[in-house]
Amino acid sequence: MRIWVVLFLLFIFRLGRSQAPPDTVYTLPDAVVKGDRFSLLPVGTHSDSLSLSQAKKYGLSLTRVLSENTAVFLREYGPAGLSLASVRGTGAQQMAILWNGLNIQSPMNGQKDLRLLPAFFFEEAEIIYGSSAGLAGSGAIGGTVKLSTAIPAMKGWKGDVTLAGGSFGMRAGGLSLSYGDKAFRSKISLYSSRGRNDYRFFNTRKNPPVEEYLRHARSQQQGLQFQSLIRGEKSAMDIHYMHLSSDRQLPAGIFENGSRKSQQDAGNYVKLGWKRGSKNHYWHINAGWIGEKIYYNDTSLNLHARNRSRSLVFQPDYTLMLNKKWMMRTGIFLRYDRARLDPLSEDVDRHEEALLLSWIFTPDNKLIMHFNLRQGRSSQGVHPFIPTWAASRAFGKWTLKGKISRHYREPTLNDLFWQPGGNPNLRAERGWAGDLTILYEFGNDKYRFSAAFSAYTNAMLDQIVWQPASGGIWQPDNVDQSYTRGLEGRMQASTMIGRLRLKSGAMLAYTRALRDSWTNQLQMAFVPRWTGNTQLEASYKRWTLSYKHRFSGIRYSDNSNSYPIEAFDVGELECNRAFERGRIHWNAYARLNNLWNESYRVMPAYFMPPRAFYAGIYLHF
Amino acid sequence: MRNLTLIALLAALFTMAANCKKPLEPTRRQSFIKGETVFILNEGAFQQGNGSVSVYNKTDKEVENNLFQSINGENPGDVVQSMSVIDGEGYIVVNNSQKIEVTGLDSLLRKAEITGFTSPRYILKVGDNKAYVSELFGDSIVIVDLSSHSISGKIGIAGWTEEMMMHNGQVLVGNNSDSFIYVIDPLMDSVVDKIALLNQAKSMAHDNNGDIWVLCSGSFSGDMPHVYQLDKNDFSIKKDFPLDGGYAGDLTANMAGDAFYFLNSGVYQFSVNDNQAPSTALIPAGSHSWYAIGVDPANDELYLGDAGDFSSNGAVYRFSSTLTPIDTMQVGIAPGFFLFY
Repeated sequence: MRIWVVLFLLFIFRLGRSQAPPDTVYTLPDAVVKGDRFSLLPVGTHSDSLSLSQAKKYGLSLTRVLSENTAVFLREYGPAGLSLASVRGTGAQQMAILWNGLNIQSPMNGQKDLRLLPAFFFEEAEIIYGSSAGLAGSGAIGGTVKLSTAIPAMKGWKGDVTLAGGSFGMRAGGLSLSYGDKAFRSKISLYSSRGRNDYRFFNTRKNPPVEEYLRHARSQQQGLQFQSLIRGEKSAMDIHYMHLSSDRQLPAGIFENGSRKSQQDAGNYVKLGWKRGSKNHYWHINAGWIGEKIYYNDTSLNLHARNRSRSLVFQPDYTLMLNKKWMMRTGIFLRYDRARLDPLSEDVDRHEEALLLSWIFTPDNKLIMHFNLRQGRSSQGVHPFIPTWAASRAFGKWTLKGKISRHYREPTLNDLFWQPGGNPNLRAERGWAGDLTILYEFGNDKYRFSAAFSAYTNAMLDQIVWQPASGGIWQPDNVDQSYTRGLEGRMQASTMIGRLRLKSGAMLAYTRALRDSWTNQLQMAFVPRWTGNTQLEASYKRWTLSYKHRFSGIRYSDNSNSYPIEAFDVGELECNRAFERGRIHWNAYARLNNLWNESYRVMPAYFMPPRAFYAGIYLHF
Repeated sequence: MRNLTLIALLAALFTMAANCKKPLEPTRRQSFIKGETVFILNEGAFQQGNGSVSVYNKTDKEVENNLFQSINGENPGDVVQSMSVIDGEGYIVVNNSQKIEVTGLDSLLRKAEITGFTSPRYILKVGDNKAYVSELFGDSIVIVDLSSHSISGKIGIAGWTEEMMMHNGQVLVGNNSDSFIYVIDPLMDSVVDKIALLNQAKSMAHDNNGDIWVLCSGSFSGDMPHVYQLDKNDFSIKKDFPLDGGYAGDLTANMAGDAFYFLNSGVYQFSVNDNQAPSTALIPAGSHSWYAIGVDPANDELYLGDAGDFSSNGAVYRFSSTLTPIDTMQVGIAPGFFLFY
C-alpha cells in the first residue's frame, strides 16, 4: 500500500516582472463601502478567491477546482453522483452557496450538489471560511461559497467555446457570447456534458480484493445562463437567469447488488439587482426566484419520488456614510419557500424574515472592522440573535484577521414535513464560532510570496439529526452537539526565470470535529483530520505544465471510529498549449486524472475512477 | 540564483508518510458452543456498509465484535438485518446488500452467498431444503432452495412482508403495509388465507397455549399500535389491546410463553392473562435508543440493544428474569437482532 502525504512546498524565489498577483484577494475597503452585505464576508477571516478563467480553459469542473485549490473537502458519491461540500468539519447543510448573492441551497434538503454547477458558467468562486450567518443567514456555519457570474468590462462582441472529451465516454461542450459597451453588457452561455462513467476498479473491501465494473452510471447535464447589466451614472441594474438540468443513473454502491436507481434534477434561478449610489449613501436591492425539482426513481422498487420547491427572496441593503471613518449598513432579508414533498398531496411552506444592522469602521487603509447584528424569525419561531464582530488589520507585510460570530441553521422543509417522520417542532441549530488568521504577503519586482495561517473553533448546539425512532420510523430531532477546532496553513508563490514562469501553492488543514464535548477523542464521521493539496505550475513561452496533488487522511464511517475509510492521495498532470491568431486566442490541453492510478474511495460505498485521460480545446475571440 | 530557484521548485516537498491504511485483522476461527452463544446482529449505518456480527459467550461472559469481518476479511454488508440457524448453518440476512450470507456455525466462515433479493428481512425454514424470505420492497415472499443456496421462486404478496412463523404446518406472514396476516401453505407455495386486523402486523409470537400474539406497529399516518391474541385454530381475535401512541415492535415471548415483552420507545411487558395493555414501561427509554429485545430461552434473561445515535457503536444491556441489571457490553452500530444458539 502506498500513501503520499504532501506537506508544504518550500520555495526560494526569484522575481518576476509581470507575474499575476496571488490568487488570494484581500479585502479592499472601497469594495466594502460600495458593495452589498456580502462584500463584508471576507472581513476577519480567510477566503480563497479563485478566478475560474483557467478552469474554463482546462475544462475543469467546479468540484475539481474546489478540491484542488481550497480547504473544501468534497464528499463524492461516485463519478457522477452527489458531490457535497464540507468545510471545517461541518456538513453540506452547514454551508451557504451563494449564486450572485442568492443562497441556492435547496430548501428541501438544505444542500446543493456541486456536481450540477458547471465551472463554465462562473467567473469567480470565493470560499469564505468560518461562520457568516450574520450576513449570509441560515446555514452559513462552516463556510460560504460565493459564485459570481459578473460580466467583465468589455467593448463589442466576445465569445468563448470549450470542447472536451476523454475516458469513460466523457464529452462536454460550452459556448458563450457576450456583448458590452460603456452602458450595457450582456452574456449568454450554453453548456452540455455527458458521460458513461463506467470503469473497472479494484474493490479492496473484498477479501481477496476483486476487480469490479461500475455500471449504471450514465449522466448528462445541460445548462443555460443569461445575464445583462445596464449601467447609469449613479445606478446600475442587472438580471441573471440560470437553468440547470441533469439526468443521472445512480450506480450501485459496493455493498449493494445492482442498481436501477436514477435521479433527475432541474433548477431555474433568477436574480434581479439594482444599485444606486452617491457620495454618502448606497442602495442595493436584490430579489430572486428559485425553482427546483428533484425526481428520484428506483424502478426495482417501483419507487418514483417527485419533489419540487419554489423560493422567493428579497434582500435590500442601505449603506450610509456617517463620516470618513464610519458607515452604517442596514438590510432586510425576506424569503418564502414552498415545496411539494412526495407523497404529501399538499404543498408545505415556510417563511423567514430578518433585519440586519452593520457598523463598519475604516479609519485608514490598514484597518477595517465591522460589527453586525441580525435578528430574524421564521414560521418555526424567533431565531437566535446573531451578533458578529470581525476585523482585519494590516501591519506592514503582515495582516491580522479575527472574527467572532454566532450562527444558526433553520430546519429544512424535509426535516419539518417529510412523511413519515417530519418533525414540525424542530428548533434552529445554533452555536458560536471564532476565527483568527495571520497572513504574510511579500512581493516586489523580484518575487511574490504569501502565506496564511488560520486557527478556528466552532461549537454547534441542537444539531438536527435523523435517527430511527422506536420501531423503525426515522425522525429528526435537535439532539446533537458538535465541537470543532482546527488549523489551516496556506502558501502561494510565483517567480520568473527568463521566460520560464513558475507558480506553486499548498494548503494543509487539520480538523478536530468532536461530538458531545470538547474532550471527546473520537472524530466525527466522514471528517478527515488531515487534508491538503498542492499545485506546481511551469509555463514556458506558450506551454504550461502543471501538477496538482490532493490528499485526505483517514475518515470514519461511524462516530465510534471503528470503521475507517482509507486515506487517499490523488495526482493530476496537465499540459496546455496556447495559440493566438488575430483576435482568436485558443488553448489545447491534455490531462491525466488520478495519475498514480490510486484505488480510492471518498465515501464508503463508491470507488472513484482510476487513471483517466481527458483532452480539449478552448477558444476565446 | 536562477538555478537555485529551479532546484528549489523541483524539490518541492512531497513526503512519503506513514501509511494509515489499516490491514485486515488476521483471520481467526472460533467454535460456537450450542447453548452458550448469542449472535448479536448490528445493522450498521444505512449505506455505509459497516454492519457487523458480534458474538457473546454466555459462559465466558465475553463478547467478540466484528467477527464476520475478522473471519471472512470483509464486512457482511449494509444493514445486517436478521439471522436464523437452519440445518446447522447460519443464514445472515443483509437487507440493503440484497443478499443472505450462509456461514458455518463453527466459525462464521462464509459458505455461500444467496443473491437476487430486493430487500430481504427475515428467513424461515418451511420444509425440507426450503425456506421463505420476507421482503421490504419485493412485493413477495422469496422461496429459497437450501440445498443449492439459490432462489427457486416467489409468492406474490403486495407490500412489506415482515416477520414469519410456522403454525400448524402453515406459514403466517406479517405485512407491515396492509392490515392482514397472510397464511401460506408451504407445500403449495401459495397464499391460502388472510387474517384481517386493524393495522399492520409487524411481530408475532406463540404463547404457552399455542395461540398467536401479534403486535401491530401502528402506521405512519397515525394509526395506533395494537396487540392481538389470535385463536390457534381459527385465527379469531381473542384479545385486542390498543397501545398508547408511538411505533411498537419486537414482540418477544418469555421462556414459559406466559408473558411477552415489546418495545414502544421503552420496554413493556404483559401477561397472557392480562386484559389490557401495560401503561407503564418497565424499562423506560431515558437516554437509550432501545432497538431490539431478546429473551434467552435458557434462563429468561433479557437482552436489550441500545442503538445510541445509530452512527456510533451500540451497547447491549442484560437483565435478569426479574429485570435486575446484570451487565453491559459494547457491540457494533445499531444492534437490532438477537439469536440465541
